[in-house]
Amino acid sequence: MSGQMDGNLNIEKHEYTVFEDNEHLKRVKKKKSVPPIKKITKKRVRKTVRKKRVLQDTLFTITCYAALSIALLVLLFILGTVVEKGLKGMSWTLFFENLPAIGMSGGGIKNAIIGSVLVSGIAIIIATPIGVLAATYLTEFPEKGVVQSVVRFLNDILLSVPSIIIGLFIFALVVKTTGTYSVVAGILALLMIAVPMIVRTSEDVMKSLPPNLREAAVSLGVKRHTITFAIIYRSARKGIITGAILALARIAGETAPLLFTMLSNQFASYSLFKPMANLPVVMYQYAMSPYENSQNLAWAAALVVTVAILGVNLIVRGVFNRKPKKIK
Amino acid sequence: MDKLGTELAMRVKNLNFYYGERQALFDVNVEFKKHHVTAIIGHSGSGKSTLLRVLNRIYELYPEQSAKGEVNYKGENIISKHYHDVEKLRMKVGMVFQKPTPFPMSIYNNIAFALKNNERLSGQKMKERVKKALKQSALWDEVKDTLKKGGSELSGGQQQRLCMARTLAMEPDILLLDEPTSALDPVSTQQIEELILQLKEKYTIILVTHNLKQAERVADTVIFMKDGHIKEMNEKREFFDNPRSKSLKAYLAHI
Repeated sequence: MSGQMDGNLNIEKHEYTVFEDNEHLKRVKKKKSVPPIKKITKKRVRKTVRKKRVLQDTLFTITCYAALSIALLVLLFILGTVVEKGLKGMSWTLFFENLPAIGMSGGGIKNAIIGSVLVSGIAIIIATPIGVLAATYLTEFPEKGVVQSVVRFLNDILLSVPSIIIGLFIFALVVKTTGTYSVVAGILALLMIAVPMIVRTSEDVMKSLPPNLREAAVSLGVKRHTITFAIIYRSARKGIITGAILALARIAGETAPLLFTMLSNQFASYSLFKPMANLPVVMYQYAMSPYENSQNLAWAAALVVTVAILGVNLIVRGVFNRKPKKIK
Repeated sequence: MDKLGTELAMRVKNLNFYYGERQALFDVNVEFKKHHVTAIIGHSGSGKSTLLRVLNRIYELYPEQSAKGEVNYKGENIISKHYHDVEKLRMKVGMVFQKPTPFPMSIYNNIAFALKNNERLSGQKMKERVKKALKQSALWDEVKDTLKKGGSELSGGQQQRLCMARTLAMEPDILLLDEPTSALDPVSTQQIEELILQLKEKYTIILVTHNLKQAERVADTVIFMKDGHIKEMNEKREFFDNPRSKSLKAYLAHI
């Protein structure tokens, strides 16, 4: 009923306005050549609006491309330098011979590669379960609200601590008390960098799973820990592994924490309780030397680290992108 | 107590529900008859799904949610703090959600997963149970050759029937269906509705739906909820032909 009345009112109003505009109507009827004013204005408005939008669009696109090219240029410049200078230091002996004394020619970086792989590998193998379990605590136990916020906050702080401070901390805690630089101290320092990263990424992934997934499993009478292992970890697997690989890439290139904890070793030592050669510190030491031979070796080491990290990233992407997951 | 166990599957008494401070259900009293399809309708936010989520204590996953009152199932108040066998309750009171949620595993394991956890079955017995569940949910013919495929590779309607099969494999008493067809196309919806009609021979079904026509098609009893109250509950024909409360009349008139 009320709807009908509204309609009537509208019609009356409409007619009223049309009659009020009589002058214009008469003019249009007499001179047929005069195009209706309404149309012109609409067109004009459309044109100006369009112009503005096209301008905005162009400006924004240009800005985006500019930002992108700045980022890409920097990256290309870095990569170019590393490749160019690193190739100079490349030789067949690089991977098969141990470090030469600083200033000496020849030799390779075999012990440094082994040291880096060993220390980063052990660190990431220990860090991943710790990080994932901590993330599980943060996401799967909603009844522990306050403790969780505290843990999350501390983890975020740890995440943003400069790595040199972590190095100094382990230096004071481990190196000072044991009286020697050692691989163990290096692993501990790298753990302190990797664990918070893995906690963060795993927590994000596990939190982003649809709540329905948990609810559906719970409503089948399945126990919480079984759900966590069989469903939550399985669904989050991809993200968790990606996070761990990112952490690996990060710690593989860390210099500052190793400088204070593991140092380096001219000789091929594979004891966990002694200093060991590793790529980042070798780069630092050899690049600082005044000898061109040693500097070239440092560049070669830089190239090896860069290619290795890039390779790991590409492999991970390749492996996980093979099977595109259906997301609904 | 008298009718519970024979005629009634569940009885809700003076149920109040809270999301933190906000109260979502107010003194809800309702009885669910055995081997009946009871449909719950009402506006969004009227407390339909909330009521459903109390019946298998799924709300417990969220510490800020709490329920007070009595939900009597087999002579026990399942929402009391002293009721401990919640896992067993959830096996007997199964739930299917609005969005299909296949687990990240094969079709076969989607069904076997919960079975393995709750019962010790031999390989042969397990296969039979999985097959039976898939047949019950009218999915067997479509997937019998592809049981090893991932559950998420099925179409939306098939996924929802897989979720049904998963729940049926537990051999529950009561099925809680929370808008099970709202994400599905008309053909899949029809399949699920036919399924509901078949299943009511064996199970007690409580169905939340936004679709009045659906309630008309499958329900025996219909409940109308508004703002956390049960406004009206009646046998289906009576419910739609002679709505008594003002709010229900208004609700039906709008659609």
